[in-house]
Amino acid sequence: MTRPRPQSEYSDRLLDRDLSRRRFLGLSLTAAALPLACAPGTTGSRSRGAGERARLRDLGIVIGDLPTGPYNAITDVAGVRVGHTTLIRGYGPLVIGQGPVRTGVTAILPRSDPPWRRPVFAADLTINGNGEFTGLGPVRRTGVLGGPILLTDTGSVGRVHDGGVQWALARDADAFDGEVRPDPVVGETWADFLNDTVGRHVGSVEVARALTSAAAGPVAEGCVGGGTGMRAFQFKAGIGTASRLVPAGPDDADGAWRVGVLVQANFGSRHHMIVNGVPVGREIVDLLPERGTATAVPPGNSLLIVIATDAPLLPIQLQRLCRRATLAMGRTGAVSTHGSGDLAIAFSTGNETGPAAAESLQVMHTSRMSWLHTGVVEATEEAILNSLTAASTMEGRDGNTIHALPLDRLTDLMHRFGRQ
Amino acid sequence: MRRLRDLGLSVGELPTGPLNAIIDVEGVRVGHARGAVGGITVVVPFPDIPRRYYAGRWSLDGGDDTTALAMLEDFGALSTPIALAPAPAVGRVYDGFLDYGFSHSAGLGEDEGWPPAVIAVDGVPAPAVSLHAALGTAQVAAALSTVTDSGVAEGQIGIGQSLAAFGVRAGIGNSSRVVDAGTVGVLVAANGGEPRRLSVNGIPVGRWLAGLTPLPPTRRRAFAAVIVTDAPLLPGQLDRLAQRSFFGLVRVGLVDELTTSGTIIAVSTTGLDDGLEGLAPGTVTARMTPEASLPALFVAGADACEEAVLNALIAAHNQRSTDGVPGLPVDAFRDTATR
Repeated sequence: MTRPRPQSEYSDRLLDRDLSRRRFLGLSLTAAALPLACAPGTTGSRSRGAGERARLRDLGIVIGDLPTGPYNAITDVAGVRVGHTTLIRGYGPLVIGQGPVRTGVTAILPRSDPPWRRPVFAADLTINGNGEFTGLGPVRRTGVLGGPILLTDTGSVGRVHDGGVQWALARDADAFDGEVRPDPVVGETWADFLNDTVGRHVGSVEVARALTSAAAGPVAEGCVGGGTGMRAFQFKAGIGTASRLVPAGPDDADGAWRVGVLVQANFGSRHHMIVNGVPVGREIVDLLPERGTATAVPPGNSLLIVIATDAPLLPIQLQRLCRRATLAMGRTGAVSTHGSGDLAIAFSTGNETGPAAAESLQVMHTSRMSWLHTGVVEATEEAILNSLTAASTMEGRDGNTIHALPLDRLTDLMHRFGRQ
Repeated sequence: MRRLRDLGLSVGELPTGPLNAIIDVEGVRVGHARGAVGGITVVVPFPDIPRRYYAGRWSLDGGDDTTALAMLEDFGALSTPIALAPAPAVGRVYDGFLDYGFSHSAGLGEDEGWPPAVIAVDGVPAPAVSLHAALGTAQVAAALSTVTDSGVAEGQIGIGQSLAAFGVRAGIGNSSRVVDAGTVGVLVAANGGEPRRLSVNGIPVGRWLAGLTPLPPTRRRAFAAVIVTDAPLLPGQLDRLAQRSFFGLVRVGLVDELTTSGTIIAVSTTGLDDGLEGLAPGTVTARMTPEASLPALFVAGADACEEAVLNALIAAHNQRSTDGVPGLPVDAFRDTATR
């Protein structure tokens, strides 16, 4: 994939200069192949089937100013691959070990090579700690991520970790004779309202399938992979992704860095929900989750954020990107409640680490980070919203049902509030 | 003759608890399980069903894989047994602990044994493939079924199997100290360390003791320790207890410039009382130890860490060798340390 080249002069100091930003945008919007971007005012009136889902931009809702990458996905960062295994089995009362099953696993591989052979610089942030990301010790100790990132439901963490280890050992056992460890980073959110958590249905077979099917290009969103049973703002949600192109330097020839975000969204109370500045959660107060025969179960309250960039960042700079993702959470109205496992991890493909590392690295000048900050905030916000617009209504265990965000009402609200 | 004090040696001046063991802290239990290769060790810091306790952490260079890290660092509290396991088996051991959590509650809440705290001890010299295959749910169940507060086996047992330090067999060791503020119990998975650095209560035994051959440089020198106290400490105080206790591991020579990594989790059994309602609605009772009493606890933790490592060497000296690493020549060791 070729990087579109911004035609105008760019630097951090120009960040707030509107003219330059618009020139960059205008050119990139045509050059960057945005198949899903629609001109404001045209899509809102498009008729849409009742069950049809879309990406946020299909609805004419555009977050922020920066252009997206070709797929508007984390895979716009060259080398990044995503694969899902989605498990949807059974209806009716919960029978532990049998279902109903509403879960899966989403695998993210930072490069086209095995992560332990060609690791990436990485950093993480615990926004709120009521959750799990395994493998953080090595990430913090070395600043390097050498395993796949796997997102799943809470009960399946151990088995998914095991699956990640098995996959690595089966493919490349020799790699682990010395210093190298598989150390998969396994994150979770709580799907118990729809899913048989205790049954722990994601195992090594499902993990291997997700990892083996991981591919560049478009990324399936909504009720897929680890996001299958998730919800956000009490609407059905799951996996969402987005990307941004960020000016790499003051000259056109400097090209653009890419920053991509993938989220597994399972957080938020309805009345907090904000879409592009519009208080949607105060306007759409119906379509709350419906309990079937189950007694009360605690709400799911977690957000996993994976940030990828080809900008050459060191771990300490990646940590800054993680912190910026919290701003995007806030823009969607989230407050990061106590029960939430809001965890972020960021990695950069822009340098070699591990055995292939050069003695001297070209890294981003710290003073030039602001565009990346903008890109992370915009892409994270859009990824969260994509997880909602892409997800369909789902019935799970005990007849519990979570409704999809009604897209026609969403676009009507955007018009009413003058945001479209 | 199987512990340091049986040789007429000791570390520091503080008195030990009745068993000179981590289980001298009331309500604490320890269990081990063996796999075809390697094993796991479990420390349960509560007497019966899972309950929340304050915890802190310190690691050398970030440590190896440690699960429950997000909650440990953000909340400073856990409600789960703490397991020491080889790195490739972390996921399988984690899953075994979910069985334990589910047996108490399907909710997997933060006060119900979730998330499991599994510390990877990345020093077991076996292929990752074998370690992964050898340890899982069955070993977790076995370790949990054998947890006891009546005694702690040391040396080549549990995660201690195949661990070596100072060129000789090492593994699990434990020790305790009693100070005014409370009892401090320590359990160490001792691994790594250059023979010449072995030191006992300040005596440079390793420099004088002949016949210790350094471990091959290919061997990973990773350690782990669990520190438990009934002194009421807050999470930040427990971070400090973990860090200061680490000094004992340096003093004894286990940790040096060549150490690859290591993690210490420190736990207070009395700092947090979820069961006691606080003065205002929605509060719990937290207890802390005044600053002036902390240094004594730090000394206790460091001394107990030092002695735990030496206990591991002595316990393992005549135990079965899994990979040809010799045992500590105990008589020569005693003679050198007392000359």
